[in-house]
Amino acid sequence: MKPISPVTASEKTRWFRRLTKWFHPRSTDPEIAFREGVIRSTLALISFLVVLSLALNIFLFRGELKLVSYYTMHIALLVACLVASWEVARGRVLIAGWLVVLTLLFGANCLIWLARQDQSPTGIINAIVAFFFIPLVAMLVLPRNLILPVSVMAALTYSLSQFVMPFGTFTVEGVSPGLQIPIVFIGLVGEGALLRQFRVEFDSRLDSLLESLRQLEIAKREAEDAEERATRERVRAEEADRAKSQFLANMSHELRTPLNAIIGYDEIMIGGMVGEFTPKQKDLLVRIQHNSRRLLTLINDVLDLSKIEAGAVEIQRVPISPRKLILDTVEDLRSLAHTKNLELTAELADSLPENVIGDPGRVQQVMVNLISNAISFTEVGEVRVTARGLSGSRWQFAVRDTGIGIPPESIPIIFEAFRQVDSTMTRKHKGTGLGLAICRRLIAMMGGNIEVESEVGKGSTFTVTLPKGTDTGSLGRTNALPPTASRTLEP
Amino acid sequence: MTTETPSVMLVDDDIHSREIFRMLMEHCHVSHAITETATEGIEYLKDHSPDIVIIDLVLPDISGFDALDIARRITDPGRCLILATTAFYTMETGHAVLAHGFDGYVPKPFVRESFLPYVECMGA
Repeated sequence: MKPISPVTASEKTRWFRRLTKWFHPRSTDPEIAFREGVIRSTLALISFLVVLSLALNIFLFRGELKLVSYYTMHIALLVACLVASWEVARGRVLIAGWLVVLTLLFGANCLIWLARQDQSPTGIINAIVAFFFIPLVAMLVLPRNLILPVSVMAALTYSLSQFVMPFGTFTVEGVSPGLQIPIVFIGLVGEGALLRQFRVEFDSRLDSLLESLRQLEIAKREAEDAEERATRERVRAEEADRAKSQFLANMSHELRTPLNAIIGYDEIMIGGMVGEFTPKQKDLLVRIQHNSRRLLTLINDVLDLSKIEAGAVEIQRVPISPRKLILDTVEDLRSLAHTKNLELTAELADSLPENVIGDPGRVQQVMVNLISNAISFTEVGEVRVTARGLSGSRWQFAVRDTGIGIPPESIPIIFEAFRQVDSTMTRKHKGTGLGLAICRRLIAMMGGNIEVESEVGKGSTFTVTLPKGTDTGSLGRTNALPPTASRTLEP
Repeated sequence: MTTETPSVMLVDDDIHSREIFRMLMEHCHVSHAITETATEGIEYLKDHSPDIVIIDLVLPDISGFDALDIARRITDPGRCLILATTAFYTMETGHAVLAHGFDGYVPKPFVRESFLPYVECMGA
């Protein structure tokens, strides 16, 4: 036995798709495409029926082979179908439509000829019925203005075939030209007129459907255009934003570099590294130093604030040790406190978690800001940093000073940019007025909050609450933080 | 005394930073070397082994982070501290340079205290 070649599902579907592809109209004009589709289906149907009927004639009825016989009629119909198929495949829908109608007209006339030749009364009645299909097919495959002419043609050819053409002398009782021709004429033309009306109705509906489809298409394209424009705008805005950030970064570098040089040289002169100055000169050098430092802080703060406002600041999430961060920061700022004869102490509760998840740089920035502020605004007494863990997943640190305090009416504005309680304070206390604004924004970005309690003349307490950011206690080692991280050199 | 103090090297393209660094080092009698570009710095490190190398993060030829990688390969890891410096100094950059593998950072402006934790003699 020959092995059966396996037919895969995809091959089957491909074969099926190739077969059904014949029925899909190629025309892009919807009106023509409709007719083309009908022509393609009709041709397939007629061809199939003709082949079937031919087979029945050959094998069952074994009809006689003559010039006008079922065989020749079938062959003529098949040829006509082939030609029409060829035309529709070439895209000539009008010619193909005509060919389909003429083929059917020919078939109907053939039925009359054959009935008259075979002297079959039922054949004649059947043939009349076949003629009434012709306007129907014309409606489906031809432009609507051709329906009536085709109906007239059908009536004319019927009359010719039935009463004029010479196919013997067979007559059926009751079938006479005087009676038959008007009836068939009126019937066919009436049918044609009715169908034409249907077709007009159908076409107008098709038109309105097409119009709404077109509107839909336009609306869709407009929406796409709008979206594309929006995307372009967004990209441009992002580019502008990047350019602005880059400009700010460059600008701040350009501003800081000469300022660093001024501070560095000034320090060298104050440090007596290039000879001694008179006390008056030294005093002026120290003033230069203070003012340069203020300018540097201002530049840093403005850059920081604009970065935060522009959303260009990313908050890191790494394991940090609050204890170490606080002790390092306090250690860093102790010398600053000592220059004003203030005590700076840290009190860490046992409840303070060993590890939290957060941004070490930003948390420390907040601490440095609050502690330096406390030192600035305190003349006598101490600055105390406390920290503890809270129930839930939060922890807290507070900076308390014994300074001048904040009047109650000013508390709401201290976290706003460029606001200090008293503008003379800015000069006296060297602040930029941006530190607390930056702090509040950073804390908010880290998911925490800051509160203040204060009494004029007694002091202020700033309390910062931050999320632990973790439920597990075991997290990797924390980042070391030189210069305070002690590392001795062994040369 | 000079032989007892560590030797410090700076790679920085800013002339004033180099000048201030030189004055500070001379004042404290710390032996030092200064180069302007990373390429020069790396050439120097091939023949010398300073105790501290300070690299500016923004250099004209290659970035400070790339310079760190090269310097790590040609220096003795146990004996040489490699620090970063930048005019961009913020706590953010401070933590970032540690994350990139620097041993520490020296904030600008350069003053005596900047080097204090690393060079003990300078406190004197």
